[in-house]
Amino acid sequence: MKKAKGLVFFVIALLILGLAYTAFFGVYTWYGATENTIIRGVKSLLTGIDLGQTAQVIPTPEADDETETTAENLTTDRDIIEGRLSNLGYTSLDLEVDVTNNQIVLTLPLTGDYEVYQIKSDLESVCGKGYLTVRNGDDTDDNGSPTGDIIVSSDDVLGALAGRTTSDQEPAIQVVLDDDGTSALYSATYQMSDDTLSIWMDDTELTAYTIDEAISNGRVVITNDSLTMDDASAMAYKINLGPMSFGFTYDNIVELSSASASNLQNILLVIGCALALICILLILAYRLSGVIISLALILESAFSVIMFTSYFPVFSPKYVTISGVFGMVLLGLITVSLGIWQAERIKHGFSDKTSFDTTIKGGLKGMSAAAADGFIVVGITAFFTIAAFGTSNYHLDWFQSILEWMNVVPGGYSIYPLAFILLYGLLIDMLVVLLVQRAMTNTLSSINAFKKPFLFGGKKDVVL
Amino acid sequence: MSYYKKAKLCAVICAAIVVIAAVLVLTIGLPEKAPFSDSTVLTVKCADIPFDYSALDTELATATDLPYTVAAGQEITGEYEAASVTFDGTGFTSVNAQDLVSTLGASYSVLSFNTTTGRDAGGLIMFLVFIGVTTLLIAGIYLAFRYGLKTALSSFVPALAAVGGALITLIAIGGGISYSLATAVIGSLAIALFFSALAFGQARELHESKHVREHDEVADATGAALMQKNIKIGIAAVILFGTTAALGFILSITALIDTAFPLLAGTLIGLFGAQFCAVPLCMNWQVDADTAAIKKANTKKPAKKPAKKPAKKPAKKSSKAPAKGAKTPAKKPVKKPDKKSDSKPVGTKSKIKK
Repeated sequence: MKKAKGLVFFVIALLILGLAYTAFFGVYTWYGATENTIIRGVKSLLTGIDLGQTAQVIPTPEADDETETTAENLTTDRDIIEGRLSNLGYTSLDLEVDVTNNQIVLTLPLTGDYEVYQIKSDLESVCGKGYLTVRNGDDTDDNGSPTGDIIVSSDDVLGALAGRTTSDQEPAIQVVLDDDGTSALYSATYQMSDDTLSIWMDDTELTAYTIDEAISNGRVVITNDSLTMDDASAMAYKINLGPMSFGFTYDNIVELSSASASNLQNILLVIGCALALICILLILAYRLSGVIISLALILESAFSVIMFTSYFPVFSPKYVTISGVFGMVLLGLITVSLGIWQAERIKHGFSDKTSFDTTIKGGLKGMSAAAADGFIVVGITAFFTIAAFGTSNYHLDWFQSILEWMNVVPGGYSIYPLAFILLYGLLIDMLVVLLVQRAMTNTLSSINAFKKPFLFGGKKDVVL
Repeated sequence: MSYYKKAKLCAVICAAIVVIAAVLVLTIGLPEKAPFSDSTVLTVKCADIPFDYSALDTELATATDLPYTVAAGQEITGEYEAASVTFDGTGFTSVNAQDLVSTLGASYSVLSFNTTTGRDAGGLIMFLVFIGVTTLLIAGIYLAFRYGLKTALSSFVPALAAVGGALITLIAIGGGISYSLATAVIGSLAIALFFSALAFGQARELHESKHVREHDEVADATGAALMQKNIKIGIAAVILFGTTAALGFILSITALIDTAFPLLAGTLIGLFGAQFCAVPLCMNWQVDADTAAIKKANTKKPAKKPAKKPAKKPAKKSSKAPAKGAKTPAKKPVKKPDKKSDSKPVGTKSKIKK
């Protein structure tokens, strides 16, 4: 039984090394010249605009718009574009307003294998005005613009929710109207008999219905055959952001590589070397305890990478910015600190001349509460940071609304990776330190061959 | 020097760091850096021939004194080559841009020229203040719940000093209001609170152990126990942040330098501040509270029941009250029958009967 317990350490160690290998190097297969990703590694990390290749676009308000171009309008529209792009997964971007030329300077991150059509499609979807209209009929003019009378518009919308229809369970968006919109819709549909009611986003028809009874609940549902759940969520989010003052156009997309581009892998490699140096020093200082801390550090580092690569291709990866790199470094430091604490406690215990097993248990016992306290206080900081700096489509929208009500203006998305890795990384780190590291120490110390204080950081002459 | 005197000295140093940081921020001020500063973005298009970046660099050096960065690139479909030049500030005009491009040759033209307004730095500052206040409030409540109010308050000293230290370092290396500032400040605050919580845990454990019981002994023992660990943690922090800063120099990524050094300063202040300041400080306050409680008990008791119990109990209790900074008579490490009931967590309210 004891032998089996001892073997557990090696099983854990192998699992950690296996996970780390796949997390760092990924698993890729080649089919001819095409590389298929099975598991994403470091080379699949998405690089933020401060570390990698970018695309520069200059959106300009559409010429035929009658709305006056002011700095305020441009700033509001900048924020809406930022929100729309963040909803498309661009959590690292930069948008600056040029009030002299009435333009916005947009910098987007580019991945190594980007597709031009994808970039253009994303830009098309965010540059439109985003004005929602519910119209009588679904006729269009020669340009494809809707000509039916507007019954309700974005101005009458309270909010939108993505979900599924009750009848067919099809993805759908439910648009909730305010009192004015509700009564306008009721009045219009009351007079309809087998007439068409259509819903448009700018010049794109989203859905059309034949109306045979009045709509009195102030809700309209958008659904069509091609709508997926993701599309529905994105559309609901876009409606909730509200329309922009103008639609925007752009002429060029310029791909840029700054002097510091493509260095994320190099930065992570060098930081990995620094962590390796720390591991060597810890192994020299604490012997087997150092090996355990090193394995915990490898595991934590692997999870740090996994959080950004999302490991399996079915999950969306996230952009790594400089603040994200520092989040990784801070988590590494926290793991090292707790490892040193545990190793020192065991080392110190040997000087009390208690039995080997008691010393190991004593070293592990009592540390959990302090470590948990540490994790909780850092978690509190990370929570408020993610609430404050989180992207608009983050689950803490309600919290940002409170902040906006308090007139606290958003600081930007670049800090999001730091908050993200601190909050979620801490939860993982807690498991690594309080569970895996302890399990490794327990199991390794149960092997008779290793029951020597010296191997766990004690002095050579200590005999228990 | 007694541990409490060291703690007081450390608290003064921490307070001085905060004051210096505040004075520096208010007097010298933090310059706004991208994306919070106004800047000019010039994109130069080059058709037909390969882009001559060295010529662009030469012309830029003569055309302006403003700091600038050049990013090489091309139209996304590869139709032509282009370079984007970002100037810090708005001194470079569209006329300058046209002049610059004309000197480069006929194949070159201005693709776009934009003068951008920096983001609202006040928003970032408000957010940082919000994060700081709410974190200290909620983390303070949590620590107060776990260790007592005074202990929680004492954790604020190294936490604020860590933030102050990060700010001073940022000013010293020429940083400004940027995302690097936010990262360094948030990271320093978080890590300082983390080390404080660990230190309180260590102090509580030593307090509950059989060897040390009184506050000053706990402070001594905690300090000694923490020192062994903190030196190693400090070395690890220097290696990690030092490497990151070195990378910043090698790869010319200013944000890495602007974050690594302040974060290192904040981490070290938080680490040793918790050891030298937070733990002994909370115990010092606790000693004062205990002494006050005992004094109160001694003055009240005879008045309450003068006849029944003459002087025996108060005298016994008062002998337990430790003088500030003085060692109490050494207790033999005799095992008590009920260890738990005898122990008292650090910072919790005194159980001395009134």
